[in-house]
Amino acid sequence: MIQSPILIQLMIVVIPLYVLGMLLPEFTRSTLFFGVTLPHEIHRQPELLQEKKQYRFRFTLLFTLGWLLMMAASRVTDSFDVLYGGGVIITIFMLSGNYVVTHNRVKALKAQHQWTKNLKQRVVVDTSQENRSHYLSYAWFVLPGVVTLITWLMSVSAYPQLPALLPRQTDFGGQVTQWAVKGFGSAFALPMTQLGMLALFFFIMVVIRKARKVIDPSRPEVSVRQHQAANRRWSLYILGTATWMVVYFAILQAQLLQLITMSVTAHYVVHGLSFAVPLLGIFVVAWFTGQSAGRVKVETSENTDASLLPVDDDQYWKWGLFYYNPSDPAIWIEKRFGIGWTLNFANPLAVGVFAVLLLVIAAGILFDL
Amino acid sequence: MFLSIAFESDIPLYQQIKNQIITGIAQGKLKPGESLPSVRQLAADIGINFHTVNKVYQQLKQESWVVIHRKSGVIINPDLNLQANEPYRESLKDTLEVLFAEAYLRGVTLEESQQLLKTIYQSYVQEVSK
Repeated sequence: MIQSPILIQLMIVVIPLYVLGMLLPEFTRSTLFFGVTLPHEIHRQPELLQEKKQYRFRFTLLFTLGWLLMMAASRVTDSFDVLYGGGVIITIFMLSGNYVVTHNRVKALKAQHQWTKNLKQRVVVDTSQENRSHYLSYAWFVLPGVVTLITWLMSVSAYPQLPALLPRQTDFGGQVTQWAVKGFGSAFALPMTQLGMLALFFFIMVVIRKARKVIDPSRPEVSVRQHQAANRRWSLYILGTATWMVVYFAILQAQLLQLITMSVTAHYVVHGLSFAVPLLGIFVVAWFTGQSAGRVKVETSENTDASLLPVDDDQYWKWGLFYYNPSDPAIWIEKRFGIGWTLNFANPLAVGVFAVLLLVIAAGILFDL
Repeated sequence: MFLSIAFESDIPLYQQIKNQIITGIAQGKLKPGESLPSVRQLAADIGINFHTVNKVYQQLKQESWVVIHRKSGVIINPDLNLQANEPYRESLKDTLEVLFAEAYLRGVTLEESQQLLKTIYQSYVQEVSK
């Protein structure tokens, strides 16, 4: 049965997810339209506006169906992970499938109208090392690092006094549904997850730096400054989220160690926020920044040379989702659509990184069961 | 400085990069002692093979446009001291001869050529006097 606090939590997660899905087309680079290389001026062609409209219509339909399914499932299971995890995974699949449909149609329209035929394609790179020094310092990770350290110290010192049975799983309201015998696994499960989270976020921070920044040849200076802003904001977001997540796990662990007791309401709030804060954060940063800061306004006297376009690499993007280019040594690149980074799957090292990531996720899930 | 590379051009990639770095030095966009990206970095940024970038840097080093340090990487030669000696003047004449032969055959006038040369030359002089 769905209780009202769960409904509120669902709203905190579901509404931002929906809005995010609707707005995704607005967040990508200005020279891409649903993952197809097209100059910005072309994006307002009636055929393309029609595609965007249809994409949004289908998304709304699929999204409503998907979450209704989740609501129905909540009558069968009361598990937090199944509901949210399942809902988010379904959303990701729907988003991707819906995107691929639009991507292929836009690609066909491009071939038909030859929109890029008379444009010169250029790769622009910035040799200046100064422009690379605007990144957020890794040293900031001391902040979530200290929180993690405190959690571990707290757990080690409280361990001898712990009772013989420890809570293993709790429901939405913080009621224990499963108990475990005291041991390293049960007492340190949360700090272990916390440490994993810290490592993951640090890794994302490294990826933000490493990922290739595609400079728009029609206005390179603006482009570079936008990338700087984007790097800074997304790094800050990652740092903020990392800090919030380790604090969240510290709170949970403090509760397990019986150092604090939380009311049912407090439990709902903390659980809800653990999902809502990162999600709303993405929303805010994406809205004001865009993936590579296409939405950041830059004061400039630079003239736009509309005859130039970034190199058309559409052919290396399978379904507009997976990048496979054996002649490109880059490992990390920006995603074609949406927000985030992806790998060049033609690079053996990239495939290795991907395999390790999958293993880590699989191990995390197994550990959780 | 921005490098602008055309993949479908008749000019080989390494030549495009090399030309633009030399022009950049003349125009003052690359200052003596300024660092250039590492081979790996530049290759990944452009999306081309490491060897291509390596070739550019090795040639630039041989012609003393850049120096390569094991620690500080590739930098624009801080003691760049080029002389317009006799062999150089000869090779310049040879190069121009071919270039203007084609220009002449294509109907580019002497006035137009002179104007073009002036514009190009001024882009170097003006930048240096800044």
